[in-house]
Amino acid sequence: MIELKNVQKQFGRKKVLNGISFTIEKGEISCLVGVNGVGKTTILNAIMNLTPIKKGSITIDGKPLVPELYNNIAFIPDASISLPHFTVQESMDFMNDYYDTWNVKRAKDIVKFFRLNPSDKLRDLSKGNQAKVNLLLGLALDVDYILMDEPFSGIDIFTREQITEVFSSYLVEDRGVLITTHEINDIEHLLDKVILLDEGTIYKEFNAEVMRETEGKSVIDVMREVYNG
Amino acid sequence: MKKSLKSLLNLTAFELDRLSKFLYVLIGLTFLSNLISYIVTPMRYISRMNEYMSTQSASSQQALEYYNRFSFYNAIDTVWIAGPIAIGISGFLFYAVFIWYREWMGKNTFAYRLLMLPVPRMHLYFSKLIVIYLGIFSLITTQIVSLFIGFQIVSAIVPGEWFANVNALQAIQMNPLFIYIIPVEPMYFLGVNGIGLVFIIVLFTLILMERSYSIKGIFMGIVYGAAALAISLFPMLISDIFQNQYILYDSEIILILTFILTLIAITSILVSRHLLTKKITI
Repeated sequence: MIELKNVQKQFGRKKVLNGISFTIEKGEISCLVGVNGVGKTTILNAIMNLTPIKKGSITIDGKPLVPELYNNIAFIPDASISLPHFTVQESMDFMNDYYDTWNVKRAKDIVKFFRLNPSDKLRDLSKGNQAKVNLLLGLALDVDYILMDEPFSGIDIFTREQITEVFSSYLVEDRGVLITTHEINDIEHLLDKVILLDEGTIYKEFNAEVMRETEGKSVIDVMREVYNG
Repeated sequence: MKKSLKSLLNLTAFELDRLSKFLYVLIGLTFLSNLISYIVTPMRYISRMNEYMSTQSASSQQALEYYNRFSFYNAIDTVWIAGPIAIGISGFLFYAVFIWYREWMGKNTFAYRLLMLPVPRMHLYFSKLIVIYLGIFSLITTQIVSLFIGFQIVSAIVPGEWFANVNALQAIQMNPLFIYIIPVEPMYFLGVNGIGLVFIIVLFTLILMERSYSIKGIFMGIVYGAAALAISLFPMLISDIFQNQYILYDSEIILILTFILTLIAITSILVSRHLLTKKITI
């Protein structure tokens, strides 16, 4: 379980996170939603120790994040994080060199699923295909937790459909997934938990399906209520 | 332990691969520039000698009395030799900064990948430090090899009776630049490289301060760098500060300086470790 307790973070004088607490369980898909600048990416960066927090604690299976734990948690940011002159294959080889949990067979499956060409250089790929490589490099790790930052950002509808397929595939099965996205419609039916952020705090935490059944509201409806007043 | 060492070696090899193009350019430039010096300088000498003999109707002996014998020292005391050394030093200074900032440059932030590797983050630090020194030593080796090749070239070009009996090693020892960069005088070589190493370690700390605290980090870096410089200069200024009440021998100054530089290096590495593991921000 990933557990955030009273996490606080400020940039200069601006408080971005103000007492954020939630958990991510294995086998659960959770989604952080909120308008731009509400702190979604900061939370993911903080979990991965890429942005130090001011107060609070973040633990993974009860332990603070130490380098070895990067073998058990994958972060897929919304920008390409491999070297542009690398080919897809070189990016995979790089991962294989450092991660004990790199699964070669699964990587091959994902390359096939996304129809990527291993000899293509990353700098020559379209934004959609770069997003697929990012997913490949995260999903081919045998990890318990996956964090994804805006996986649908700036990509075409067909790529989006392909990526959406990932969420109902074995690739995320039994893993704890935390995703941030504006394109909530595409994956709303797959979500176990929605965490709605507003002004650095958790405004509401709910199950999307239960919300729809009990109150007849979609996640977008709840967001409209919050952000439109 | 074995796994940790393997990941450090992997990272070092990876960084070395990224440095390779830059290093090949510097090595090529050094060789080419040195070659120009080894050929052009003796040719000019021969041309001057011949011109003197023909215009003055002088003998070879008289020309020698006028111009002196040509030694290998003349071939290495030129801008063609000093130039690539200066370029190499400034190139590696630039690279010591670039080696960190390139990870954050552009829209593809490779710093994400590096900081999320399941290896101690200090491995990133040491791999970058090791690679800079591997680069510097590669360039020094190039220079040494070039000097010995150069000696053969020069001695082949200059007629024996015009060539002074100064071998390559003697010529290098006479050159004020080479006694610092080539290990012919171990104390000078160790001193210069030791100071250089501490400088790069402090520079890394300043960069990590900026990467951790942004603008505030720049001010912290300036203060830290100025403090490190002031402390390093202290042994040399003791006699001035105490108005000649305490005068230290050179050996004592070197001993105090070594102690201070070691202390600065250790402190900087510890500060860098703290920044890299706890404060660095994407």
